[in-house]
Amino acid sequence: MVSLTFPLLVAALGEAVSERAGVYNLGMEGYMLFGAYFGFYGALVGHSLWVGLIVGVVAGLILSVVHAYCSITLRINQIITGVALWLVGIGVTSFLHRSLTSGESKDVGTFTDVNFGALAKIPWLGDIIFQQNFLTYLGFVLVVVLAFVFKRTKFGVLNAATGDNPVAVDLAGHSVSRIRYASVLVCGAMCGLAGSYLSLGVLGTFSENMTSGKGFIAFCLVIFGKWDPKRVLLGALIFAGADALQARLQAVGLPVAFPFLLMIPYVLTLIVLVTAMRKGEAPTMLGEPYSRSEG
Amino acid sequence: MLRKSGLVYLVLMCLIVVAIGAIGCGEATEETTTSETTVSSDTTTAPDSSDTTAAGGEESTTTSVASVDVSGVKMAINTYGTKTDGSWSESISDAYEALKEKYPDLDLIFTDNVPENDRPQLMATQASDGRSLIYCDSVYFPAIQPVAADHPDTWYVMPELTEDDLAVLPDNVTTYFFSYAEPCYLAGVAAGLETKTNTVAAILGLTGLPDLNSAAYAFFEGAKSVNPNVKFILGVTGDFIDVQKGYDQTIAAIDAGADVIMHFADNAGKGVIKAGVEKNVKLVGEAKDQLPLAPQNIITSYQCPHAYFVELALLDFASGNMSKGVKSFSMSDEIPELFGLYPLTNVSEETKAKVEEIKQQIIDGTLVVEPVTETADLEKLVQESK
Repeated sequence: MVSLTFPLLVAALGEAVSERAGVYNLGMEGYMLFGAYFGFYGALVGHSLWVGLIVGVVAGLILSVVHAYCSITLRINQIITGVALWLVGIGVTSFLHRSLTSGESKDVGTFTDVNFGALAKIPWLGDIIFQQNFLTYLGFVLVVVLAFVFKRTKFGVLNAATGDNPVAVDLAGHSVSRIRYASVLVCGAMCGLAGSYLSLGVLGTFSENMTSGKGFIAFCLVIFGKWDPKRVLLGALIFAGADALQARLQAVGLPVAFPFLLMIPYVLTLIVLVTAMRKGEAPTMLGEPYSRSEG
Repeated sequence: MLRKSGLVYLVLMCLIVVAIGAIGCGEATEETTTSETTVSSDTTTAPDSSDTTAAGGEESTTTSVASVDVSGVKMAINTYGTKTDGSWSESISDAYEALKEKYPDLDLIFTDNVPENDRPQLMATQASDGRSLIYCDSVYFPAIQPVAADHPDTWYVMPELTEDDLAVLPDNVTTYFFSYAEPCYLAGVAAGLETKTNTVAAILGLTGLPDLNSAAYAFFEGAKSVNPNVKFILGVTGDFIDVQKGYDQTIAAIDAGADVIMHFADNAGKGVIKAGVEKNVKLVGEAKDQLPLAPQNIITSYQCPHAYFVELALLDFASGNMSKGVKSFSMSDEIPELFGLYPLTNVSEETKAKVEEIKQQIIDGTLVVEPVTETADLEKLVQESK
């Protein structure tokens, strides 16, 4: 359960930062794939998981620069550029995987679990909470950090204001473009981190299209979480927990057709989304490019 | 003006990048022929006069390798998944590479990783391009019917179809049928003897597909034949690509007690193997010899004879022997090494001896392993083992 929580959580947190500033990132899947591949490749050639992690984060960030330029500076439709970058992510990583590593799923290893000593031996809880690698705990730390940033820092206030009323932000003397650029880049970096987790935190290798839609699930979790880090964490835990539950229900042989079990995480998330969603929660200017002359 | 030129530059860059990605997603290699080519006969695995049975009980034999001229044949091989999946699609890619090497003058292309919606267009384009022989895996089944009807001059070869499947398809579609039941039964025998927890598991990409169901059913039956008390766990990822789902599903099976696990999950199988290595359980690989992926854990892999089938298709076509019908193959044919298991490793000598004994029974016909393809039967078998 925890291995699925982290990539969803971190990617969704990054997207929350970006959407609060008013910019959609449908290309999250592409950023995550970049993070997964370049994280793997960085670890392979750098002979270090840490090198791979940094390379993966930077790779996601670099791809997000393209989105930022297209959507903020050129004011191209954010949905279109996002979808394009998703496809670029799939194509480029597949191409590079076949070209640079001959398509082989070489094992670069994974980050080891943090040693909590006796705490790891606590029945059931020990396995879930105290037998994870540091990236998993980093995800939870990021929730706290972002919650603090959103509420207590100048950037957090400007980030939200840019998404709701960029004209006011502009009139106050702040650069809407810079705030949006920074927000999109944070999203790219965090999605790169989420992707790197898949290749370096769990599987120790890269496989083509290994994100398999997790970027889009994270996109939905942002809406579910109403752009609040704590609620995003809850959404990620619900989805990942439901996914782990259906796997265990299969393993114990619950006499229910498999398609219904496989549906559990998606149906549960939809139910919670529908019942918890209220109108008027999204940033007012989400998806709208800003221009001073038109503001 | 600066913004407009920047826009043009950016659009051009994006197009270049997407083009690179498109090239990476689908690979096609063409080699043209300018002269007649006589096929070499110095191979021990080349299709020869096989024991084949066409639909309606008529026998059809392939022509001897040495006399077939493949020059002028334009062929395509397509697979649904990525050729780097380490199992199913990679075995088809390997078949393409082997064929290309053996017949260097053959005009042959290969395409992988094709989205479902693009498959009809792909095959139609290949046929319009003059490809007279197209080999594609069974995942292309929904796409074949309209395309084959529109291109009656092109032969479409799709393995693992049944007579019922063929009945609804045009006359220019044929199949080579091979059951996974026999090799998976043997793998199950090994699993039943090797399990210490009396629990074995099968992780599938989907249920409802006859070949996957028959593989898992036979695996469980084989385990039960040597270990009547063995319990079964069936896990379905719902996805042939998501490696993490394969990993999570396998962890769940291991937590439920399984210590020998087979998979038929293609790319998601990498997650199965990763989980198996992490938890140090025994594994049965799919389609290719997956021992290099987990040298301490893989006990065997069951074979998918695509290399044999693509060459057989080529020779049948080039010799004019191609006809609509189900040509069946099994271990009891003269080439059991192509339709069985890769060598057993990480198992006891007793297990090896037992598997060999039962293998001979299958080859002799003493033991008949019928494929059971219904999901309900598979689920019932699993429930009864609890």
